[in-house]
Amino acid sequence: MAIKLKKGSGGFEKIPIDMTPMIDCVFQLIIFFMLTLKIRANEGDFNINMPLGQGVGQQSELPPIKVRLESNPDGTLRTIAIGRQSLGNDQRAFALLNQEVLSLVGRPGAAFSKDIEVELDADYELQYQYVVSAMTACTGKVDEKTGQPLRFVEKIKFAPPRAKRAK
Amino acid sequence: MASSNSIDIDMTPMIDIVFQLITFFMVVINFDAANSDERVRMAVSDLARPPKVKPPVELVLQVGFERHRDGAGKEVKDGPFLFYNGDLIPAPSFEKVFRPMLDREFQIEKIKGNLDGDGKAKTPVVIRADAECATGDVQKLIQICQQAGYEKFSLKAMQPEGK
Repeated sequence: MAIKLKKGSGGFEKIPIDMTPMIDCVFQLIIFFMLTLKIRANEGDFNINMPLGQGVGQQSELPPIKVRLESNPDGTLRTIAIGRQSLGNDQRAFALLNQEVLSLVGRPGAAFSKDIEVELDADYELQYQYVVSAMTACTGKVDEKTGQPLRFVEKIKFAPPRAKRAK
Repeated sequence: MASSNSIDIDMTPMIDIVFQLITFFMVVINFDAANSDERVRMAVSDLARPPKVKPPVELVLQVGFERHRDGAGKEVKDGPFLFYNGDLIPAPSFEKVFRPMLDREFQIEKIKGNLDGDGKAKTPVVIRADAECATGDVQKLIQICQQAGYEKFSLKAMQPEGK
């Protein structure tokens, strides 16, 4: 690893460079990065704005789209309903919810879509994953061609929490 | 390293590889994930995307379970708990234990002048809740934050694998 040359009396001679400290540092860095590395999926978020004491629909002139999520005692989903229409409790129900909300909005990016509000009214015991699925179904869909999200509802709100079921 | 009798070892390829490794780790490392608690197994959402502009300060609340295996190897979970500053706060004690902590946080916001025109905190509350948490517990937490003076919330979900 001696690279530099120095002109001496007998021609050029190599000047040794001690690489040890640099290699020590570099290995320390590698060990640090290896230990701190966590390979995990990225996180995304849903923004909601919930001022205290504000009733649902007070921000907007449009009435909110009411989505009711009923749970079984064990926290699994019993049924999703939009208005008075029950949609079921499986993956198809979320697809139907997505279609229903889209039909109410008209099309993704419609002028008034920013004013439309969805109110989620879930049972206390319902597992949070169903609420996330409902929020996903209500706010938009993924464009099959581009893989990019198309959002058609920006505002999500929770109805006041329901009472815990007596055991 | 290089005396007249020693054999010179060419270190260049090793150093090349080592720098490649360092570059790789520097690119893939995600310091944001350092704040996230691994006990929280979040729900997956196709539409979950990282925010385009990350707020400079945020209040992260993580709700999840303590999971362990019983004698038969079956997973048992205790909770849900709020994991906050190293404390485990059980859901029934959110109001009693967490509210005073949150009030202190709000006082700090006030001293820093980080309030909007309505006297509410500008700092958003980021909620990382376990997929199996009761929705009512998450709502209760939101309600406590509202009462303390926070009104911007961000609910976290995981992106599907490979996206």
